[in-house]
Amino acid sequence: MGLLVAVGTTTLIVDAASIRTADMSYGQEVDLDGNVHLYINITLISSAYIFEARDGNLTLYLKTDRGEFVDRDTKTFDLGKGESVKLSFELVVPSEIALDVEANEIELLLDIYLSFWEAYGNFRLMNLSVKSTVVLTGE
Amino acid sequence: MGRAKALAFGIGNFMIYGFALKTATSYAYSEFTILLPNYDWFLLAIVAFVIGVLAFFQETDNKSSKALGGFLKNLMVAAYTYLAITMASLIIIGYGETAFIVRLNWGIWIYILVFPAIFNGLIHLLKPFAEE
Repeated sequence: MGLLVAVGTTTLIVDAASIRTADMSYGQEVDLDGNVHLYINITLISSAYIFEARDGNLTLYLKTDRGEFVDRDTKTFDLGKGESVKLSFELVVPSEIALDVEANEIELLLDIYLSFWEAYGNFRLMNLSVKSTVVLTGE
Repeated sequence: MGRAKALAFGIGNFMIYGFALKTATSYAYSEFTILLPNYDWFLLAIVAFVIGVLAFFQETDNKSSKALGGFLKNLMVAAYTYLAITMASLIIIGYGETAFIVRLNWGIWIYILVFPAIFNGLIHLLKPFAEE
């Protein structure tokens, strides 16, 4: 029984870690008011063997290096074994901040929050939440 | 010989539960910059000491102390597992602003993890009397 639990735990963690991003693409557009619209597409792929990702949530949180909030966007997802899902985000950078970024006076930081439950059937077994931060350049 | 064996078993249990995890977390931090902020080695060391003492009683020749020692030792192992797993619920990889932060909510899986130790404890409680 202990061996079964140990193997199950290892598989749970391996399956959770097998969810990865692929085909990350982005674009930007400036509107008439000078605000910059950032379009980010992220494809999530699951290479899991047994467990599925349920009640998933991917949030992009844009802020300046001074900690000021700029914008956020959230998408939810469910990923079965071997499935993939494409999530599209739109973040708006106000014109005054965009000008400061272009002038290299401030930096934009993108916090990426990923959260999902590892599930088997209808049983939600373990929740994994990951936060990472990416520095966006002024270009 | 019985007592010497029991003492060796007790010390062995204390060493494994007291130091294996500490060695693993120190290695993870020094090699991969993986930090467990909630990791409390002192609390785990106290639990490991109690496990060592109960493991000593589990290996004695007296049937009652063997049964009770085995049962309580496995309950403490379940408690140790629960503590270690909940301490590993927050993992930080790297430094500073761009550090990778992982939070684990073990949900019902943590109860599946501690169940074998509790089940083993019940077996240890009944085994000496069942053999009779």
